[in-house]
Amino acid sequence: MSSLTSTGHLIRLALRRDRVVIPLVAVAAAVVAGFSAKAVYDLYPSGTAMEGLVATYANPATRAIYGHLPTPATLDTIATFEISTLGALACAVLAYGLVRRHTRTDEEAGRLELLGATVMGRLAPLTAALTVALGAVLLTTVMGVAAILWGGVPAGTGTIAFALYWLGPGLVWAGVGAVAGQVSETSRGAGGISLALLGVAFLVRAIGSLSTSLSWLLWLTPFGWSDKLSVYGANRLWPFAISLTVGAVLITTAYILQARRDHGSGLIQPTPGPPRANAGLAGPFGLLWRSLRPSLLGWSIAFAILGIGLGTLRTSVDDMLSDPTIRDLVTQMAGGQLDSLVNLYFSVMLTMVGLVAAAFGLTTVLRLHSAEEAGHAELLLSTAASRTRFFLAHLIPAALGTLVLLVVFGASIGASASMIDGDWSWLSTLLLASLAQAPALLVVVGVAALAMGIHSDLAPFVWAYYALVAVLSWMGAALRLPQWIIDFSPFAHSPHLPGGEAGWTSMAVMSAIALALALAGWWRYTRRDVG
Amino acid sequence: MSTAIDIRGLHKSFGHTHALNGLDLSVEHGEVHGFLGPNGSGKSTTLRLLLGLLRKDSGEMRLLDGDPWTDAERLHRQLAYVPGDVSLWPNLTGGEVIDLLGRMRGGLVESKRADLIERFDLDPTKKARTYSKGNRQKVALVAALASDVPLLLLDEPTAGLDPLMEATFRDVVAESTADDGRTVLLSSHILSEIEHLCKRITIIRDGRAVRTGSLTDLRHLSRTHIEAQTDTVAVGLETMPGVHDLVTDGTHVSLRADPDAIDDVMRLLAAANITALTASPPSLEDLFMGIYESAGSESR
Ligand SMILES: Nc1ncnc2c1ncn2[C@@H]1O[C@H](COP(=O)(O)OP(=O)(O)OP(=O)(O)O)[C@@H](O)[C@H]1O
Ligand SMILES: [Mg+2]
Repeated sequence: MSSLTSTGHLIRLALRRDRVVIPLVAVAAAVVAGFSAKAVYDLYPSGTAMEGLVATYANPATRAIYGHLPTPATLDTIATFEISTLGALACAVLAYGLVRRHTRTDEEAGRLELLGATVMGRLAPLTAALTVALGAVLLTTVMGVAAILWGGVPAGTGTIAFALYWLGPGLVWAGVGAVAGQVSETSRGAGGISLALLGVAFLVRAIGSLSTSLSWLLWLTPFGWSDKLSVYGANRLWPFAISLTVGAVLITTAYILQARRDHGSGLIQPTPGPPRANAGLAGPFGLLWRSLRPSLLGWSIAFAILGIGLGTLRTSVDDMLSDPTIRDLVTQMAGGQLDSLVNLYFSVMLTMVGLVAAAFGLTTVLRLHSAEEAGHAELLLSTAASRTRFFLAHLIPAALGTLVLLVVFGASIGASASMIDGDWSWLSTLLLASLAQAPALLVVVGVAALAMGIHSDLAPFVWAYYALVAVLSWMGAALRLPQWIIDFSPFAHSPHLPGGEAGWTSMAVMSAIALALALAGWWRYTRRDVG
Repeated sequence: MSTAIDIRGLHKSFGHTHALNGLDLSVEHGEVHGFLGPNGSGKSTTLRLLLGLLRKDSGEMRLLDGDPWTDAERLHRQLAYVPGDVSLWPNLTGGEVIDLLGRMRGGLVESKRADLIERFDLDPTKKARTYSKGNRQKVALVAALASDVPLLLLDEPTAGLDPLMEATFRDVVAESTADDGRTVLLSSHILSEIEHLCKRITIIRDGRAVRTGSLTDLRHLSRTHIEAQTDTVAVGLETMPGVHDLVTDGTHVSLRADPDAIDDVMRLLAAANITALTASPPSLEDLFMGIYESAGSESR
């Protein structure tokens, strides 16, 4: 039996299980790409003066998220600029998600063991997972390319560069997911490693794009390598070779590890633990806290680093303002107040990080789903723990955890901006601005709570809702979507702080909605079949 | 004294699957009640309904004088459950799981905890992820048996245990009913275990109870295997109602007789002058196989 026997069967099985999610991601990416490209051509007739347009893309918020606008810039550059980054992110998440799902997740659940006893090669699951993941990334890219061509972007070398922009991170994170699945013994751990690396790569790229003196950092991150492709600008194709090499090295590493380790184990060997439970482990809260604590700690550290990093970059906002043309343009854009460019930068960063904090809240509420799936809910609810307590043991940490993250981020970005400016008012301003997003976050958490109250199988819909909110918050304006669609995202109702109105009414309304959603979820949860 | 568990005409369906179809079940205080039935007959569903995890469609259900759905928390302080599929928290040790579940029930009896860990030969410092299937099962069992509760709901509790541990389980359950007066509802496929522990049993099939009663009564309801050697050839057995699987070889006869036919068979054989005779009750396997099969054909 070769070590690859049955790979074909496994691929078919994986495609059967992913027959909804892969096309969904590909179509969603294509729709966003096509319409946002089209919107650019609809908005700016050909012959629009590029100089002014280019300057609007040079603001720090845009740079931090999307990188430098490639040069020489044309309307085609602008049409493909933002969706390049978003598609690359989607491909990276898709890639590691699929690899993890078909390797470590299945292994942990014992499903691979069932298959492993059939005629299955040792390396077959990894090969099948990588094939499916890379296939999905390729499909997404092809659909994305077709979509931008439909949107009016001309075919050419730029099209290839655009495709490579998406493929690169997809390839690298397929490799990251594969290695993480070897190193960690648990599916959650493997996901955590991959996601953390994604965050780090993105942050490094943001710093490299914002700060002139640190622009060499772009050579250290897969998103930087993609930026070097200069899509519809200089159209260099060779930087893709870096992504290709790194992806190949990671995948080879995964294969070497896979061939050497035992089924079910990771690189980290299990150690014995305490024979007795400490006093805190006495109920659903204690139990959840025990597994949530390390994860919340990890997220908090990440948010603190992110906050300090993004706060420091406040100086590069000034760098840019030293250029008189940008200064004039931005001053006009910002309604005559120069101050508001800095405010705009912070407000965009806060929204972006707020979205990420919402993801933490979602994963916490969705532990209700995994607990039910694994049979833990059945065991716990057979004890004196009531359903209400069990439900709240997820909901309250989810809500408080997101608040903690907002405080950590607000305080760290505020503190570092204050130190740069020598003006400590930033600390309270940014802390409050960060906290002002809490109602919007809680609405997202509330939607998850309601879904779990209705049925544990609704978890994928919660993620779909989250993706929708993320796309609307990031791309809604670029897609020129009607306001009522954008309003669907709770983040659209968050006050634009710092700089804008506090918007107490909308915050109060959102808090009420969040509470109503949570109550409805709790009410349903106490009345439905569990297990 | 009222019954510990009283179920009448219970219905539960999942979409188009009718898991329970008018189930009746009654368990007395202090008894170990065997709960048997083919795969998918609704045993686990019944236990989950008793735990208030599932909501009944219709029917009557009382558990320790309470309603399993509305009084769930109060009832759960008085019972411990071992699920059919034991899945533990991978990052907790066995000892931690036992403490956690014990605290969340009516509390742990410390002396029992130590004693059971010893008797089940369990290493409480191992992470749940690294336990073998049988050891995971033992963790759940120790957690349930060491809890200070009067009622145990056990869903195939010995699946995966080795014969030695299976024997330990029998001893422990027998002790806990004898010494503590515990009530046990035991769902199991292991007939020898049922025979050893249970006085009364209920057999369900397609979500309905098809037999219930003491094992002795059930035996009485079943055919007895009779083998006899007679001096002369016994005539008339072929046509006698209630006689099955008749094999005659000259003066040697082998047959199975329904309970109310035994008397007639014996008279007839006696008339032919019996020289040797064995009469054996049906083996448990025969008994259940017969009920599983016949009940199936009835319900179809
Ligand atoms: N959550 C559920 N959703 C849909 N159908 C279910 C669900 N739970 C049980 N069933 C169905 O109800 C029926 C009874 O299942 P149950 O698990 O109670 O059987 P069982 O007697 O415990 O079987 P086994 O001996 O195999 O453990 C089966 O047909 C099963 O498929
Ligand atoms: Mg069962």
